[in-house]
Amino acid sequence: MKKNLLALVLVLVMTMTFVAGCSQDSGESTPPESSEPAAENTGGAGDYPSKPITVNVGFSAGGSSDVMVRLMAKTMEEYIGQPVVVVNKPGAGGWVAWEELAKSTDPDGYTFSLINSPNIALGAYDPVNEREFTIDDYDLLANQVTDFSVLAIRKDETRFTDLDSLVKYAQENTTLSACSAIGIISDDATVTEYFNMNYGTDFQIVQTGGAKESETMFLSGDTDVLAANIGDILPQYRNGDYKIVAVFSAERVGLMPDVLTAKEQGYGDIEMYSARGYALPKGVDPEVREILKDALEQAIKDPEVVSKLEELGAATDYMEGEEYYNFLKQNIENSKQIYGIE
Amino acid sequence: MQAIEILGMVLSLDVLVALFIGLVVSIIMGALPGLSATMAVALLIPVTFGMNPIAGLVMLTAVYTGAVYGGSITAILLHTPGTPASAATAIDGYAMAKKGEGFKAIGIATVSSVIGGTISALALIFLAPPLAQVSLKFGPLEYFFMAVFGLTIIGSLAGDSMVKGLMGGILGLFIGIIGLDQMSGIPRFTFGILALESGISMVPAMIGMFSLSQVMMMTEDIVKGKTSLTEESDTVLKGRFLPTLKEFKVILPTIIKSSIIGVFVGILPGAGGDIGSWVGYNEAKRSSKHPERFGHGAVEGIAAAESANNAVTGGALIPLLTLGIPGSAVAAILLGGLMIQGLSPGYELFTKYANITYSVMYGFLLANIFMGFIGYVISKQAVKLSKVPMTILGPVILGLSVVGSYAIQNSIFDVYVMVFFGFLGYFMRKAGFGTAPTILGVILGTMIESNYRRALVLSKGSMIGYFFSRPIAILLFGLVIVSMFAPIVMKKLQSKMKADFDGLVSDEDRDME
Repeated sequence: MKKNLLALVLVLVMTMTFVAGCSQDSGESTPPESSEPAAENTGGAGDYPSKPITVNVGFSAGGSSDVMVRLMAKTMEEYIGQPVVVVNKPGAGGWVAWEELAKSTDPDGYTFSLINSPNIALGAYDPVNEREFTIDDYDLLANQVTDFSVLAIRKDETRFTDLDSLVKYAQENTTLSACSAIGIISDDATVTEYFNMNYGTDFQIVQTGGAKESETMFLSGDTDVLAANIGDILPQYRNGDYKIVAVFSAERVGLMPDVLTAKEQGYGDIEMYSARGYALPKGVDPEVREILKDALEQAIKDPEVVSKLEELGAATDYMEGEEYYNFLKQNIENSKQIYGIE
Repeated sequence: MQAIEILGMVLSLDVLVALFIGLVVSIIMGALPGLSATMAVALLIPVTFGMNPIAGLVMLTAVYTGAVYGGSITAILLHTPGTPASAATAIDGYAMAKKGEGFKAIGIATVSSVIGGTISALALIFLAPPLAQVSLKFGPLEYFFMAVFGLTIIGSLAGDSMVKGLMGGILGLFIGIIGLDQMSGIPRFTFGILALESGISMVPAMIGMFSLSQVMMMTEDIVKGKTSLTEESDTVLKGRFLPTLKEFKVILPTIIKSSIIGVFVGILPGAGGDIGSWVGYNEAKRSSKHPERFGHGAVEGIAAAESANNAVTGGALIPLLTLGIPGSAVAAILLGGLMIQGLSPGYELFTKYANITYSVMYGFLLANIFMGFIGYVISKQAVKLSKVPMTILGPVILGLSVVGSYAIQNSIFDVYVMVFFGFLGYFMRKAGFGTAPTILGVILGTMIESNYRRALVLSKGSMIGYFFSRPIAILLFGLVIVSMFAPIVMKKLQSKMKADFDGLVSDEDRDME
């Protein structure tokens, strides 16, 4: 009898594990029955969507990308009439999910993926770790959020007070900037590299484990400046803890209207950002794609989603089709130019 | 601080249920010989994945302390320590059980564990926040020296063979190299496998190393014809459970001293409950007026070992929460549980996520107190449960290991990692290598490399000048030197002491997990 009790306890634990596991992957698209693929490929949209839709996120649960997708997915369910399940497949800076997307052999429209630029757009041009796929290998759906790069200094900083004095200081002194990624795939690193290339500054990058770690090093005085995105530093900007000396957008950003752009301050036509959007594998039936894209568009533009994201410091920037493609293409050209890549 | 708010969070239904289930499951798992606290936590991390952070983390800390306590039950009644941390308890506990005082021995172990755990929880609550403040002053150079300090402990962790310990540590350093070079992004030893770019996933690796390898050991026993973990025992459990007031007065000073030792051992990187209990036991024996009673059923012996090993748990959480440096092998796994909830150790845990952190710490305190009541109720049953056939236990653990490894990142590759480390752990254990140095090596190696290289950039080319401008770094460097040479000095001292009091000190049979 006591043995039964133990077995019961162990079964309980096992069940809980299964539940934990299933809550993550319950939306995993099950392989269609043998007759189905043919029907889907020839018969247009048919009864799409007839089962839950999966959106893969190449980052861990709880991060800013994940939070955004979960907000969108919950709203998208209302528009598409099926559950939209978020599956986290973290690893290799998002590339675990993106390689799966590019290599998908079953483009049935039931699985799409979050894509993050510059990682996905510039991966193929990263000389250190060259990726196999470019944005031409995916079917780009739409952009949701564009988060522009900023340069921040501490509020009590005396050596420099604005972008001009910072650039002047960095021309004469080695100036340290913490970044969570390095090279062409990092918008933070590319911003500082831009000044080194064009204005003869000596910004040195200290590589950290993530945006939080970068901030800790910046706050403790280990580094002189912080290159980050608006979403990372919005609360500190609002509290007046950091002084933002420049934002790298074409026009001023609504979330921080008093912050001057680099362009306004005479530092060229530089635009740098991290953008989050969605893509399908190539080969999805056009009618299916249209249904999915419409629901996605409605979810992204949903006022509640937009305002919740704004609270988190992310500005919605809906783009699709040609416009979205050119937006990413421009990002690639800018970065290649900064690093002198042909 | 909003004490009421935190109390409300701790006393919510999901947290209490998680705490209760965590304690019951862990006391039973702890009582089962071969299922260590490390393994209990590793197996339960995937379960907490879907929970809210407070419930999940309270459950894991409850599992930690509960499993360490549960080990004492079988140690006392069957002379088979349920976890390595309760090996010292077996000496006097079993001697008492043979005299027919088994139930009383469990009572003393329970009281001692509860007090030891509670003291360590209080130490955690009061020491961690100020230490987190200090951690703000920690730059890459300080983290580098902290991590090196942790590595020097491997020498003393190594158990019977220091060479094997160091080899295990180096293996860990190598495993830590796998993945993208954190500084330049160059892939190292990934063989083109994308999943390896983020490095070996720690939780699946540890599930493999501790759980799967244990299933292999069990299978070996089954083949040899052994069917259950323990032999039948005819011990009759009756009599008084709680010690009398007089007895309690005798053991209380021992418990308090041992608890303080345990907290301290816990704070040291990597040194876990097994070491804590031996140090506590030896100290109680050394300072006792009747050292000759030890080994023949001395209540102080049980009290010392059990309060120390539970005190280690809270101590081990202190450097984990403040610096991200695990104070024991279990804490190393808890680090994985923390990360899964999107929480990373450091100052933010005590500011931005203070509500979660304090709730978890108070939940841990509560777990240590509840442990006494639950222990009282299930200690009798737990012994009987330890006779469950391994043919049932093995497959269940195997199933949990596979599902758990997959669930964390929805990655089948993680299941392969788990299996690989299962085999690695099995062969290492067969060859007499401890797995703790390897795990420390992985975690600390990564910290050492990236922080050293960061410090090089920060020094702007003048490392010596940079070093001397950082007082905490100089202090930590001194600590590293002391820790490196301490074993040699201690050995000299010990052999001298041995000559003086021959036969008094014998901790050669210390078991490592």
